[in-house]
Amino acid sequence: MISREREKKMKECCRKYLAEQFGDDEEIMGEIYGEYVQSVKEKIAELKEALGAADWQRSDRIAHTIKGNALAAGDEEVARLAIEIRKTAALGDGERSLSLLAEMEKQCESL
Amino acid sequence: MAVLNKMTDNRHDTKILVVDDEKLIRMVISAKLKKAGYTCIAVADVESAMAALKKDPKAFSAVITDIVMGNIDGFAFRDIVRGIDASLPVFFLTALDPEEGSGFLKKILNDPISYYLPKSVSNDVLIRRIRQIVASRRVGMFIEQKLEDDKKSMQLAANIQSSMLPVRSVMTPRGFYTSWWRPAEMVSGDLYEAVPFGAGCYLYVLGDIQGHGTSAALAMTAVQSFLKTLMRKEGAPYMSPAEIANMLHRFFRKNLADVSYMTALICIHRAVAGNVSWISCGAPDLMVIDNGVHIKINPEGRGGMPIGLMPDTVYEEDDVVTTDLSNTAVCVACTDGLYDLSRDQAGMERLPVDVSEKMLAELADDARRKGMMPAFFAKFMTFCDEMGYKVFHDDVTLLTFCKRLPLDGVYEDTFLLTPAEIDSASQKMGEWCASQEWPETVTGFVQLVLEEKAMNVYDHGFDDKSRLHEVVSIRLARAEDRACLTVWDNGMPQPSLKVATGDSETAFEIANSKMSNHGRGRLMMRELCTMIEHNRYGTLNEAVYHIPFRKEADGEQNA
Repeated sequence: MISREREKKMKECCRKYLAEQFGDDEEIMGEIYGEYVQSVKEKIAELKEALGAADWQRSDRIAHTIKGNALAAGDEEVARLAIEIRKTAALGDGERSLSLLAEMEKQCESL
Repeated sequence: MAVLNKMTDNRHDTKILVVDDEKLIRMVISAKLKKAGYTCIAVADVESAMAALKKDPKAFSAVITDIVMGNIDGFAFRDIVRGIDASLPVFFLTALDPEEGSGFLKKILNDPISYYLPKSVSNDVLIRRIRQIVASRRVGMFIEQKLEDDKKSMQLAANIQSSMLPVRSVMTPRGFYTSWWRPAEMVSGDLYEAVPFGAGCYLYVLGDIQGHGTSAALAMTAVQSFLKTLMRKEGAPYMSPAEIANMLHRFFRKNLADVSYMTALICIHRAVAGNVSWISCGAPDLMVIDNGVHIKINPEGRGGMPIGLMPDTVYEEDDVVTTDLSNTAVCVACTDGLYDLSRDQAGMERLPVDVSEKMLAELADDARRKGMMPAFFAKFMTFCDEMGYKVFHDDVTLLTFCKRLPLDGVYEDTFLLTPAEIDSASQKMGEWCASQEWPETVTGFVQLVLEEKAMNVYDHGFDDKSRLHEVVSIRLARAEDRACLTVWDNGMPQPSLKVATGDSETAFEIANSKMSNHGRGRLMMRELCTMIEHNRYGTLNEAVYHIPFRKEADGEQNA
């Protein structure tokens, strides 16, 4: 069972999306959300490192993964930012990419 | 219906393989599938997926895979999957956007059983798509299996039908007939019966049940059985064609009136007296060909209604045509399916009647002159095929008969394909060779070649042993320095080839490797023949063996 505390903390868009997909199965919702939170934080750290090293190919790959995970968890805002980062990384625009990444981090602070 | 419902509501016995290197995606998809009642195996890499697929290739009903993965992408994975199961649906679940222009969508759709799913796919859409595709595959497999089963049943039915027909050609001291029976589908509504009686007399019945396919085939077997029973009755062959037509009509009205009717040609050929009496019951008229000319023998248009069509039909003696035949005349009877051969499925370009009749006339006369009647119809069909008339819209049956005039220096025979008949045929042929004063060694070689060939056809020529009622026809003649033995059989196809055995060791080896299982016969043929030719005409195999009159053999003859 998902705890009241975890439910309260679940991002609203994710809660809504996962509820649509899994109905009242709070256990699976909690597991999926927990995995999403853990993975997105790890990937943000990896992405920061790749952008810092101007490794655009790796950055693109990580941003793509974040986008996929965010879509699967219903986090549309993070998915949108991942798409933007892929675009700016493809142009080699490190400054803009890092700025977008900072925004993504902010989005994920509350997770 | 229950079977189809079970196939479409397939969740409980459907296992899906999910391949994604992201744990979150595996969790989400697995949870969605399990919630819908599917069994799901989720793996993180292609290696694990391959292991699962190879362990039990039939276990999975679909695969869901990511495109962008570690060492190998989803498309390369799909190629491997296709090597294991060409019909397994593959769903590509990806975060790639079709508008990004990477062309991934085109790559997915290059394969007819690959499908695109976005990673944000909703539960409803995911389950609906999987259910549809898996159901569609199962229905397809079910239909394929049913068709395969039906094909086996039809093949069995075709074999039964084929075994009910008389042998394809018969040669006696006074007469000769040969036949061609070709169903439009696997089974046929056409039938024929040939019964020798008296001194050089033959009764021929050629019938065409209306329609084709299973119902016509069932009616055909009933009529063929009735004919066989009728012909066993004492004196039956001595009935007139009109009497036989009336008996067939009564049988039809009693047993098959609501099923079908039959057009028929009933002929009594008196080879020694030199005439034929025949009645057409709605069938094409009997053709008489003399010296290559098609003679019109029914200018008054005599004949009757199709058998079984109208309740009150009575066939009268006035409906019977009697035609005198010269010693060189050949009679050809056919069902109207012959005129339904066409170049295309739509049947727009049909084989013109005048063309087919002209070809039949020329080929029949040529075959009679050369003593090659067994190959006549097969050659005719080969010509039709070469002209592009390959589509059979209806069953085709052809029957030809003529007085047999032994040709000088030519020996012909037809015999059943059994060891006893082969032995007897070889003895008779040996006696003829002796009558021609051929050297004993040549006679012995010719007999050996015939026995080896015929036994080879008997042992290996037929997948289906029920067709062993087939006959072999032979023709033997001397051509300058060699004896030419021609053997015709309807066994399994042999490749056409011509090889001079003395010219090249390699050529003969190649030829031998192409020939069916000849066993020890290969070596013997090589020793005895200077040339072997194999031709294929329709379903007819023709083998020509050239056996030399060696000098020592001639010396033996002179001595």
